[in-house]
Amino acid sequence: MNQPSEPNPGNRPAPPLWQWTVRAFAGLMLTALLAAASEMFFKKGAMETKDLPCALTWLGFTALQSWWVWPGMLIQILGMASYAAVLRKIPLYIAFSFMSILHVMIPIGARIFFDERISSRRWGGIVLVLAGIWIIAKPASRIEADVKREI
Amino acid sequence: MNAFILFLIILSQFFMVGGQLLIKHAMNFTNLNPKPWPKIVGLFAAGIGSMTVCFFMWLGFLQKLQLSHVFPFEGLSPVILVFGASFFLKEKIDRQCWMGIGLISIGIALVSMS
Repeated sequence: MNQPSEPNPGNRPAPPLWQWTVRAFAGLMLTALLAAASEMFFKKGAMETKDLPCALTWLGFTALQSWWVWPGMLIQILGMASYAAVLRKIPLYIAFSFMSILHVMIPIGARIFFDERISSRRWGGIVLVLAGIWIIAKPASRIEADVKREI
Repeated sequence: MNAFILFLIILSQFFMVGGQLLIKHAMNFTNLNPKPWPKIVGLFAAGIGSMTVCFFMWLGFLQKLQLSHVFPFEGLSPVILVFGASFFLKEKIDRQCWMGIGLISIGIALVSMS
C-alpha cells in the first residue's frame, strides 16, 4: 500500500489561463503606474531645487534636498520589486513591450501635473519611439538573455 | 538641446543598461547551489552603482529640461543593448532590429528638435 505523499507547496497546480493573464496584466499595470508616479515625484523635486547652487551642475544632487524625491525613490523601488515579481511569471519581451506604455503615460502626466505644452512634433517623436520599441522588444529581450549567459 | 546635453543623456542610458544587466546577472547566480555570495554581492553592488550614477544624472536633466522632453530618450536603452550585443558578442543585427532602431532614432531626433 502506498503511503500518502506529503503536501508539496512548491508543486501547486498552475492557475487557469484567464487567472494567470489577469494577474500578469495587473502586475504589469501596477509596475507601470508606480514607474510613472515616481517620475512625477522626481520632476516635482527637481523643479523645487533647480535654482540651488551645485558644483557638479549636471548631477542633480541638490534634488535630494526636496521632500518630493524621497517618496519618489521609495515608489521606484516598489516598482522595481513589482517588475521583478512580474518577470517570474511572463517572458521578458512581453513585459518590455508593455512597459513602453510609459512613453504615453509620462507625457500625459507631465501635461496634467506640470502643464507642459507638448507640441505635435514631440508627440510624433514619442509615437515613433513607441513603435520602434515594439519592433525591437523581442530581439532586444533575446539579446538580453544571451548577454546574461555570456557574462 | 545642444550636443553636450544629448551626449550626457545618451551616457546616462549606458549607465542604466549596464546597471540592469549587472543586477540581472547577479540575480541569475542566486539560482545556483551553493550560492556564490561574493560574486552576487559584487555584481549587485556594481549594478546599483551604475544605476545610481544614471539616477543622479536623470535628476540633473529633470532640473533643466521638461519631463516630456527627456523621457523619450529612455527608448535608447534597447538600441544600446542591440548595438552592445553586436559589438561584444558579434551578434548580427537583423532587418527587424534595424527598423526599430531607425524608428527610435527618428523619434528621438524629433523630440530633441521640439
